[in-house]
Amino acid sequence: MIFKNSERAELKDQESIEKLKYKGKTPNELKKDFGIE
Amino acid sequence: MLFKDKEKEALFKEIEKRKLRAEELGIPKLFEKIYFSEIEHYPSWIKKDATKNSVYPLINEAVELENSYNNETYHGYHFEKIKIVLKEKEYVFSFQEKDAYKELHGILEIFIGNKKVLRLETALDDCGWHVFDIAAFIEGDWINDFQELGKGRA
Repeated sequence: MIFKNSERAELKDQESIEKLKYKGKTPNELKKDFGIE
Repeated sequence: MLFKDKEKEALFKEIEKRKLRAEELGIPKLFEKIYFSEIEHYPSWIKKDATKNSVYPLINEAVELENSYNNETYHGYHFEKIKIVLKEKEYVFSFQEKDAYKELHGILEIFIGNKKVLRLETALDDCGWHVFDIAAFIEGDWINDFQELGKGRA
């Protein structure tokens, strides 16, 4: 998938928000930590 | 991969469920009891005649892999890593102190091979270390081994 710069910036932002939402972890990191498939 | 709000909500609910399950199994209290008053001392106890009988009989091996107190040039927060073999199974414990606002916190983790099965956030108070959050938990047979160890111990 190819992103425009503005889209990339928006995605980075969303990732940061996701990280902040649960003690600095992304959903994928959380899944790994709790063994969720 | 980014998650939609509904997926995140479902994920957070599932995590809360698993944390509750860990609480029901008594994981926080169990490790507060057996790590800080027993397991972290096993590598030293197991080497001395006077104390080796205090080591839980089903421990086959206890080795200190890392300890910041042994490094005279290290002046950061304390960390230690201990390997134990319990009922022929190898577990690695890692404990790292960290600064928190006006408090000393610590992270206790357990690994089986390279897989982290438990991460507990702890804080130090007048009574010792206590767990205030479960940051990783993967349920498995390993819990039975430690519940057995915890029975009747200090």
